[in-house]
Amino acid sequence: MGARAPKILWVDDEMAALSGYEEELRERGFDLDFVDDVDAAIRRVRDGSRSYDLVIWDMAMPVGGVLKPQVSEANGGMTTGRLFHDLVRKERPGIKMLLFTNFRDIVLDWNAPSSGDYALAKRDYKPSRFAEMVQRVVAPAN
Amino acid sequence: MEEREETETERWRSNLSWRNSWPDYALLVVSGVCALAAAAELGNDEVLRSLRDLSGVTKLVSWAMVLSLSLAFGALSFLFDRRGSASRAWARGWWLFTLQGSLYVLGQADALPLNPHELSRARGVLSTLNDGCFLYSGLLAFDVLRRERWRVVALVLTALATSLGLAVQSRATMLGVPLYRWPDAVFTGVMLAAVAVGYWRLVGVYLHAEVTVERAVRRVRDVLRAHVIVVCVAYALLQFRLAGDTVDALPVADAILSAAMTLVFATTLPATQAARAIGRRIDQRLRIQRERDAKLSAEAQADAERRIAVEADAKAKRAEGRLQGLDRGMTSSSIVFFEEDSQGQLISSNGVERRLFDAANSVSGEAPGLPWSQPAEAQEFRTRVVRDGLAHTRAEMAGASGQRVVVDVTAVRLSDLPPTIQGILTDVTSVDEDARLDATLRDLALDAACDREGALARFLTAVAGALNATSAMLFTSDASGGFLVTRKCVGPHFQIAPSASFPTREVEALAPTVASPRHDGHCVYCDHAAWRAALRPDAPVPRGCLMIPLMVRGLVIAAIWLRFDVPLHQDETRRARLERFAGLVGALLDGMTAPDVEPLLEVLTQFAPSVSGDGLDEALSGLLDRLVSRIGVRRALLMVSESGDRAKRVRIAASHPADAEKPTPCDTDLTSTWNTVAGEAADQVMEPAQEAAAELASRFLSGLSPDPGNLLVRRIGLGATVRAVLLVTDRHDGGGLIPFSRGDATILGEYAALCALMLASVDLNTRVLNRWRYVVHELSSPLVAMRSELERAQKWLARGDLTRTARHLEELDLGSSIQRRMLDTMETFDRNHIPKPSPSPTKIVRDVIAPAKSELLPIFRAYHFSFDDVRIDPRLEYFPQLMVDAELLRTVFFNLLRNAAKYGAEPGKPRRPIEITGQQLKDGEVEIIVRDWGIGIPTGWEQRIWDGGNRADNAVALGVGGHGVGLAVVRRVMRAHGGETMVKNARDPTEIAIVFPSTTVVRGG
Repeated sequence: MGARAPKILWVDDEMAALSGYEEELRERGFDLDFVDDVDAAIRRVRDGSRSYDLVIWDMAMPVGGVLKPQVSEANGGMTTGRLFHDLVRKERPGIKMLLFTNFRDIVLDWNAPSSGDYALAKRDYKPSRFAEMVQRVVAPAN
Repeated sequence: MEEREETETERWRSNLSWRNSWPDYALLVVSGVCALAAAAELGNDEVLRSLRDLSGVTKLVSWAMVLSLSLAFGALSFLFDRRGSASRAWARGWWLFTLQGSLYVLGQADALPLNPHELSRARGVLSTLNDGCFLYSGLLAFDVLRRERWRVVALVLTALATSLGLAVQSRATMLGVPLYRWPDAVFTGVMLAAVAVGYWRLVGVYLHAEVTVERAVRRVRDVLRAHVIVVCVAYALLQFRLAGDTVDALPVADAILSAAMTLVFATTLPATQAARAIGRRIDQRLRIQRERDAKLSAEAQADAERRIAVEADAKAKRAEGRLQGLDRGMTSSSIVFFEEDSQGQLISSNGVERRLFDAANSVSGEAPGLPWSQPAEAQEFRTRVVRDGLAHTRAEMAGASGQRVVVDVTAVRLSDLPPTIQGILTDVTSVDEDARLDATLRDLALDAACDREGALARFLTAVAGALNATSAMLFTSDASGGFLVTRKCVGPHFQIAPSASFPTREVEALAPTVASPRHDGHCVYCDHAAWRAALRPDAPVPRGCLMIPLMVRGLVIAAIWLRFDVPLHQDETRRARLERFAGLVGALLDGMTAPDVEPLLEVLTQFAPSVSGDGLDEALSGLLDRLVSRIGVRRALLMVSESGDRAKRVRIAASHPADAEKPTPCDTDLTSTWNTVAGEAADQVMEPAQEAAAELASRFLSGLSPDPGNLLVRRIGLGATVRAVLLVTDRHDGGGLIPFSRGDATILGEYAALCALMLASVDLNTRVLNRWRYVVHELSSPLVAMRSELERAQKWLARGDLTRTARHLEELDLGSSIQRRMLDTMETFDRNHIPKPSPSPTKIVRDVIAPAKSELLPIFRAYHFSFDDVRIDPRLEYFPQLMVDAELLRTVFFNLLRNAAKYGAEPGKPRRPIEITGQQLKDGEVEIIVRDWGIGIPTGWEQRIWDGGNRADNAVALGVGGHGVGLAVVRRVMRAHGGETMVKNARDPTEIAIVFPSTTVVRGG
């Protein structure tokens, strides 16, 4: 019996632009749940039946319904991902999270491997290279 | 009663004394001797015959009448005359009558050494005198009658008796006595003259109604006495003239005399009555006036004493309250005007501060009743005051009870002030009457520190009221503010709203003139025709007005202008008061417009550049901490909101831990009030309506304390961008209230303004940063997609799947088209570029809409629209060709359709197709409409969406990317073609229309 395929939850509202990345990850054997709204992602995190190895998230997304009470902190949707990150961290403290964003300037701030946080800039990674990075995050070399 | 009888007895004794009545006694002796001699001759035959022949009936009747009247009047006088004048006159008349009769008898008996003529003359004189006495007695008897009824009866009796005697004597005269014309004429003339003089004087009684009763009666009596004397003298002359011719003429003269006296009585009696009535009214009026004056004087004195007592009590309580506050470690803020005497001692006129200064002056540094026992600190305080006179001084020390005492004094040395202000302040602080003005100044200064505009209005109202002015205007010009003119009006004549008609420029131009020391205080307003005309074109020229220059003191120029309905130029007292009031306004303004600039600049330099969006909370907290430590207030709360924060978050910075969270009502009264109001203010800070915040502040003030000085609420609004509320209170939980000093309040206000400026800066930075982030996001997404498609094409090419390779290359091409179109859009907008169309005959669907739709395919997919969800009205295929730039129009439809896709669906609702329809209008124009069923356009944004740089609130809240320039570019392109854009329907469905002018329609195309 082979090893279990890593389960990945990916939330990004620009699903159409990321179809190449999605395709690459699936070809590499990742069990990928790709959702384009935060509400669906939160529901899946809270659903105990699925245990994700990695959550890929974007910083700029529509706020959605679950985070609406904190809409004042979402900064017009530009920082919705941060709220999502905090919520996931609160409910799944040990889960690894990868920020995949268009904003290169915040990547360094969000790279904290010791706490399970990783960050990559979309512009710097083609689908294959991105898939390699995801592989390293999910199964780091000893 | 006994006392009264004794008094009358004494009066009679006095009247009968030899010294007072010797003429009467002499007359009595003479008449008695003559009567005895006459009685001795009664036995003489000659005498008896004479009496029988000469007297006759006529003589008897005449004498009987006179005797009866004399007896009657004498009896009345004797009975009612308390002063004895009438009785004495009656007695004299009787004695003279006796003397005259005795002489007659002695003459008939030839017992006297006189011939008959001489004897007759003597008898005539005596007869006249006794008649006069009797008549005068009767006259006085009239006067002494107390009741009007008796007076009338006496008058009627007199008239009847006189008429009867006159008739009898006239009859006798006609029977045989010849008339002597010229003596009668003389007699009548003298009588008429006497009566005329009497009447004239009686008229004087009426004309001079100011007389009292006593004076009126005295005057009437003088008139009557004059009548009697004149008549008697004239009658005596007549008798003397007639003597020797016939004695029968005597009854005629008697009758005439009686008639004349009756006439005198009849005319003088009403005059006496009138004089009495007038006098009574005057006396009554004077008595009432005296009583009223006495009453008013007593009341005024009592009221003044009561007011003084109340004021003294209130002053003592205030001083005591401040001392207690100091004892509990509170802050005392005050303004002290002081001077130094010849020994270098500081002299202050204020209550508590006087003791404070006494402590500073004393060697020991101690002062009774003042919680200040450290001599070194007292001397230090003194040193600071002397060194920093006319400055803000703050001393901290330990009070008698061990508490921390903060004495915050703005000490102003009188000698440092201009002479005018010195005079004003010296006057204010030294005159008891103006002590209230001193209090008014201080109160207004404190009020002004919190509410300058309101304080000026209240001050002007007080000035106008004190001067009885119907209207007043106050212009204040602050040079530090660029000669901004603040105008306050009271009175019905100046209730004009600030408008273009208000001559602000004229006022500004006039301000230096008004404030010039050379200005002599005359009516500038009247001289300034242009100003007057501009101010109130329809107003009549004021009857009196005055403009007073206040002061030029570095930065402050102020003028107060009042208009009166009465001339003021001649009213020195009122003018002097006005000048003093004006001086107070100047001092007030001077205190208000002397900001503590340096610390603000320091804070601004320190905070403003370093504040970013993320560090704003910390910056606000730091600012508030500095503010609290500097002012020494107990609790302060700063609430701000930014429109840049699209979610309308209210930031709260609090100096007290309990206020840090969103305030909620709690149990204790003070905290409950504070938190409730603070919470509501936090909610309402987002509201653009300032009235709500003002009402809120009023409610808080009314609930907390009647003293507005303990709370400062500053609302700052910079347009619609930033709003802030700063609440500061110095309420001590167990103590009294200490108002802020004007300096503190000024600093608070400046701090609040600084907060607003800082927030505005942060808001601007945040908005710019967010916009660039949107741009980055918008441009990066296609780029990422293109790189992805390129790699996928390479991958499938390597695997030999040319079909998939071609498909990914096509996607790559679309991505590049989108990227190019977006860059074009941003470039057009960013450079404020007006595109220049290159028109060519264009089929709107084939050449414009369809290519734009194809380019947007990845966008449609990203927003879950299929290609078929964008439906084009088939009728558009048959529209005439348009002379337009097809490439530019593709950008137009690219942006319109992209917006329709982005905002074309509300979260949680099914997507409905995007429709493109059109119509030809009657005037030849062509209208194309893009319709979607998305989130719509909020009310008020129908025009703003075309301006560029603006995104509607609902679009921002949706969280999708965007930079708010697409529609602006649409409008620019359409206007470059001579067309127009508009929102035909804002919601359900949202319809955006573009209109091509008829000139672009190709005829026959």
